[in-house]
Amino acid sequence: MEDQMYSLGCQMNRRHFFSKLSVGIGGAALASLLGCSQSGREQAAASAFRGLLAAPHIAPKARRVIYLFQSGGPSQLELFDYKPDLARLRGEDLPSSVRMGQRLTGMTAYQKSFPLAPSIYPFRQWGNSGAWISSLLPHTGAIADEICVVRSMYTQAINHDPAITFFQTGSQQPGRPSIGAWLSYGLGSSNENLPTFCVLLSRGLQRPQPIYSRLWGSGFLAALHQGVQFRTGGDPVLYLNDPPGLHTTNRRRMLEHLNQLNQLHYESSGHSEIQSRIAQYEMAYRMQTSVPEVTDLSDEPDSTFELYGEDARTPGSYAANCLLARRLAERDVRFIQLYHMGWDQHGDLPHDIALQCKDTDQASAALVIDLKQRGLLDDTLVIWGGEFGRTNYSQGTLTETNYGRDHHPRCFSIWMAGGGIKQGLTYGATDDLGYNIVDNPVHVHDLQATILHLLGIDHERLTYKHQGRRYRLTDVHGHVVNDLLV
Amino acid sequence: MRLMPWPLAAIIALILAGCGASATDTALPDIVDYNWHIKPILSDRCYQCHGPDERARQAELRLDTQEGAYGVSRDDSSLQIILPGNAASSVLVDHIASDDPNWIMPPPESKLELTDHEIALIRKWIDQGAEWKPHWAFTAPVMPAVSEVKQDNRTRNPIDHFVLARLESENLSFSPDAEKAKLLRRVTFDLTGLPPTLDALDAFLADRKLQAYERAVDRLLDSPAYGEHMASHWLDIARYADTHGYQDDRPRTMWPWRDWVVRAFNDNMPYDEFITWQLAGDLLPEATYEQKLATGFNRNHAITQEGGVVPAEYITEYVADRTNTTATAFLGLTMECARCHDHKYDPIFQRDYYSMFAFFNGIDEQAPISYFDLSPVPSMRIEDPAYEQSIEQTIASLDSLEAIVDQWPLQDPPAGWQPDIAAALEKDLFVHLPLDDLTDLMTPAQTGLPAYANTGLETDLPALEVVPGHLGQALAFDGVNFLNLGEEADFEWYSRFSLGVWVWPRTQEKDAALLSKRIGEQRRRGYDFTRTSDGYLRLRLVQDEEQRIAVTSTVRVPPETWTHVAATYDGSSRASGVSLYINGRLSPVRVENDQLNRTSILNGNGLLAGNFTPRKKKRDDLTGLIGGRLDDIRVYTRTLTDVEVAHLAGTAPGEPHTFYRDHHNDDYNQVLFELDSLRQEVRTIPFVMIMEEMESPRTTFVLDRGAYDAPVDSVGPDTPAAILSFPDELPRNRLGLAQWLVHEDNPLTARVAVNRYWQMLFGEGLVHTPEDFGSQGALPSNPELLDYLAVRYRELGWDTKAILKEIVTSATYRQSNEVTPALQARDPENMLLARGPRVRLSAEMMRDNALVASGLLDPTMYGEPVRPYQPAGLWKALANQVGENRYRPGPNLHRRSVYTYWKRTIPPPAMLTFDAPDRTICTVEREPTATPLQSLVLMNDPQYVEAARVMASRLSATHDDDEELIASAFRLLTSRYPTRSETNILEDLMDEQQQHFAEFPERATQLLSTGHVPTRWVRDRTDMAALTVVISTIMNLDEAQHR
Repeated sequence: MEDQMYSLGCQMNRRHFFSKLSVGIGGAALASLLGCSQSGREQAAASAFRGLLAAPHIAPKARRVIYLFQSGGPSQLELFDYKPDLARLRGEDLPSSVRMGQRLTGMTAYQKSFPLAPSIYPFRQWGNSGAWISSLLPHTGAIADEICVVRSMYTQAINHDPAITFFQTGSQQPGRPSIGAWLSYGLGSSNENLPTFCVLLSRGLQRPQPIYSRLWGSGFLAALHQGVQFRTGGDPVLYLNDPPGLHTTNRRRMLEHLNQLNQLHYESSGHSEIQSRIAQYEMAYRMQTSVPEVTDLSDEPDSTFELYGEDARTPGSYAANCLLARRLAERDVRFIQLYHMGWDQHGDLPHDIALQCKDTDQASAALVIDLKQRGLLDDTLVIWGGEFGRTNYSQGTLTETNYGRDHHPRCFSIWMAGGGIKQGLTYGATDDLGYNIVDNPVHVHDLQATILHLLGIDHERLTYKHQGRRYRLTDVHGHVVNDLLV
Repeated sequence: MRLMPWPLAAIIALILAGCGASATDTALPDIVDYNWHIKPILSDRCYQCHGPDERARQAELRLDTQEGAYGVSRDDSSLQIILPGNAASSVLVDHIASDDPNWIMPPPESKLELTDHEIALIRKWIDQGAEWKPHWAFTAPVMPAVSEVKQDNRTRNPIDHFVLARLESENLSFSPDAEKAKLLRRVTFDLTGLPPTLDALDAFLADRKLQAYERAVDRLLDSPAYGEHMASHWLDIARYADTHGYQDDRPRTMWPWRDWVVRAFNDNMPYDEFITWQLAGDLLPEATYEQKLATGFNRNHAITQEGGVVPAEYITEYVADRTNTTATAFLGLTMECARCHDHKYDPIFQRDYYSMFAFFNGIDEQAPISYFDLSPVPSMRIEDPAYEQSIEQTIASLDSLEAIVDQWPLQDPPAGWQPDIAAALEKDLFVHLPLDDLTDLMTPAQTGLPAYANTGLETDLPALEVVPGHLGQALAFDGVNFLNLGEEADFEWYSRFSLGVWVWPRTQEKDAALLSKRIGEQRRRGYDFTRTSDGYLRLRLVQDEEQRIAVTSTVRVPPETWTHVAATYDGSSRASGVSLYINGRLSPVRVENDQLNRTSILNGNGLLAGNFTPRKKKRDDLTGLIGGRLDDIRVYTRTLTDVEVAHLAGTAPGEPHTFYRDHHNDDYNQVLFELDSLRQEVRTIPFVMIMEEMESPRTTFVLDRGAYDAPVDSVGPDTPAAILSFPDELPRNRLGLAQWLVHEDNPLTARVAVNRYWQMLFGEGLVHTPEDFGSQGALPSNPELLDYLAVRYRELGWDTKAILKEIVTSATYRQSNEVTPALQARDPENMLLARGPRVRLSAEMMRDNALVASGLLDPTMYGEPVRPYQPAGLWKALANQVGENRYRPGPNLHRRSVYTYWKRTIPPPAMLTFDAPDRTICTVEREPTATPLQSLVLMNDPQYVEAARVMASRLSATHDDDEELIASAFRLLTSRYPTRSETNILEDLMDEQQQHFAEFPERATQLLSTGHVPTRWVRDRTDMAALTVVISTIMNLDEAQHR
């Protein structure tokens, strides 16, 4: 498997390799890392490229990741973190002994009281594992024995921009590469016809929090490693489609002539990078076929849409993106990053969260089921989660039927499934009020370390030297959460 | 004292190691040098625990100082860590060569290790006496003696001596000079960012006189394009953008600062002044406007507007950003490593970091800024006489045109003429929703509404009720729900428009929105058409709380009756330009506000019927239409005349004089057209961010772990002593800091600058890590040359054009870049410079090249950023904000790329694809990559397709012969003539494509309609389309992407 993974030619940007890596790795390692002869390197295809790692640090459990990012901060208290005691204390003020000076966002910092707000949605236990999952998520509940729910995630960030940036890049401030870029850099390209790191966006409620293309940016890594956004309407990948009037046969003939001209120039000038350029154009041409092919859902049988829900027929919906994620996984794309916007429920939470769940529950579960039935779940890591949780007290007025919740970094829930993750596990615990973690905290950097571990990477050893220091996804922190691993 | 006799052979051995043979096989150098061979190893593998950072230090041992490294072992005072001359007895060697996991260094848990070769190097260095040297970059450069060379006839200036001496020691020599055309292409791109024109090529090829090349260089340095090109590099370093960069990423006004940069380069401002003005122009005595403007450099960082952030946290980030940027840009140092702890590798302590930080901590800035703030304080009004004059002229012309329009005499129509009102009402009808035949509104496919009205049907709102209407069916609203007509009808203050609808309202307590372009959200920007709680009709055009027009009828719209209501607006920014009609009759009005002042009402959000915001929280005196009904909604993109409104309302029309004027008087319409165009040019004088010291500056503290809320000791402004102690005579403020940077004893500033110029011209700096000249950075590939250039630059009075000229007129630069297999094998990265540089065009050059070659380039300089083509929907998919989610290309589509609007969270996608950074932080080098996405851009981006077809038109107009035409196109894009074989291939392609398009002529038409520029039909469409493909092919050549 690994041979396949790394056999797709060599890094085309050798200057980058020499200048940035040789210092850290040493000449010997560098030569073996490039792994092919001088002439072989010159002939290297630009279409696929090797990663930094000649071999994985650890035996990988997963070959690829599908990250279902729930942007806005889904409330753990309505979804995964069952807190019956909150109902008993409903409306009472959050004791300051519990709050312990936790800083508040500017949105509730001036609120006079912090009335505890229980979920108005009931929970029940699901599957053999007996995981407590909300009635809002019946489909997720039905796969409770497949997934591992982590109820003890925490972060330092309390605002959207820094918090999402933290999850995606390991730093709250912009400028670092995102997880997918790190994997592209470390493991290289996995596919000759599709980008290694694909990004799919969908939105739920009107006017959700924005997201930013730097979240899938390559930071200080070469631009080669940045995520490629798949879009609905127009070109599925920017500039993919030939201009109107230019038929694919024109393109093919144009490319053949272009290749001849480039080849002639290579022969007269000796510039080795021209070979890469030729390969680069060939891959562009293959992408023109492979991307529309992967995004065209018309070959999916009706049973697929029964599984994912009818929404999956609407391009750009979360359900359609989950289905597209499965199709990309089938084609061995390494990192598939979804973002679904709209979880920022400061007010009208009961109403709005139900809609968000309706948009996401079935398709998220369907993806896991579908991957499993296709034999892909074993080596695909699926992650579902947002950038922080929400407060156990109401933002704004608490009524019988309505309340809101502010951002809460101290505890929230995510789930994972597939490649190397224990099934049916509920991990970590928060206190009876759901405010602080009391058992097995998992920090953002721990999650990142664990993701890399599952892909065969020691998070402390996948580094990039920039501005004189070795940067890594987990900064100087992070521990693999072995309890979660099979 | 000269501290740096670099062991040349050793350097070359190291440079060439690792290519082909594994480094363990590489012979050890004869002389092992501390700076060159040993320190990089110690720094990289040992300093983390045995370096400058006291808190991280293990075993009380430090290896970054002589005292530490030569000191005695903690365990056994009879042993020395490094015993010069005796590796075998050195404790260091004992550790690094150990097999014992408990003894070996670095320890296994560090995940670091030393190779056998590295261990051997350390042994040999110690055996040779372990000579210690200070870090090369922290010692001021001294003018080196010019190296002797054998082939003196191959040198043109001292630069060549340094390079050739090295080549000769390797038995290599310079490559021949590049062909003239190629050289001109190279230097023209390098100095101006643009390709040479054919005229320039011809003139240069024809100029056989001495110094022809030097004259060409002078011409390029004098061209205004030089400043634009140099600025494009500086904008990366300065993290310049046209938006604030966090969360909603709102726009900002910093382009006047960008223009200052362009001018500073074109005026050849000495680099020491360039630094001083940008860091501290405001502190210069009697600071001028330009000097203050220059300080915008350190306001270019991202600024948040996100509600709920903690102010101190973000202000700390801003000051840190200034500190980091200043260190990276001018010193090539990674100061930010010392933000959380002492630097692990360089002698920069955490205290040093905050002492530098203190220079920038006296700005009275805000976090978060208010949502619409384009230039958060401190800021100043821009003073640009030409700009102000052009604004005044526009206003003056506008006033006179408006007077003409206002006084336009109404003429009687010819006798017997009858207006065809029904036909006129079909014109400029932007939205028409009869709201008939509505079945199930919750299922968009079944509503019978046009696509744009379906976009906003909210599934989570109470359903709109279908009820009998005035004309067929109508919709009933409940005050919460609404119909979203989509992100349409984006009217500006200067737009002419009309709204008309049948309404059946109920009496309600709050004003009811009939049609609204979401101004409720932020209480600004947009328009709304309402029925007030007391029954009057009102139209508002809003910039903000003060700047707005509000006009209310004095006739009521009765409750529970179908009434036709309409509002028309003439784009005048005056309340008198608004007319309100009730049942087709013009209503007298009460003007509540008349202060729009020609400010923007643009709002890219949905046009809602029956409500004013999609949010459930309504925090305004407005609400939805509670129990009211709407029927037959119409939006026109012109000012309807009275008879037209009457027709809509089904009432008898009055005199058709205005109708006759608007529809039949060409003179009048011509004036209106000019008026409308002029209105779009109206600007107000913007403010721009600058640096300005607050009255009593904040105290700066060392922050534990860099956290804003963990202050430790207070510190004052100071610079790191390891680089250069802050001279007593300098003021302890930003001005003193600038003077310290350009002080003749500062070891870094000049080296860092010339290294960047070298990088710009050769693709790679003499120091390959332009961002890091510290211990962890790369060593200079030619240290004497670096020092020569650094000292020379200062001696030239920091004359940037002069130093650039010296480099580009060197024989080194002028070499051919063609490469033999032997040389390729010997030096694949061209570290030794035995051939000329070959560099891929930058993102800016790539596009500008196509614009120049096609003749599309608009050479206008300066001013507001422009918006070239960008795929539709890109912003919308990510952004949520008012008026900033819709990208509108144009009107200045073809300006140079340095003027392209830079939205930091969603930068221009084609430029990112060609390796431009997102400008979130200071970036001093772009990594060139080659990806299939780049091919897709060059093949399919409408900008390149348009350029190809425009080139086809232009060349067809001047060439009758296809072979000549292809040759010209080839030359425009590569600066050389094609060879016979190349011509054959292209002609073959041309034939094929002609056949293809002859077979599918409609495809030719489609291809030729890409882009906004109209096609000039010089030849038939088959030929034009085929030529477009041929030219696009040339544009995609590897050679066309290089200079």
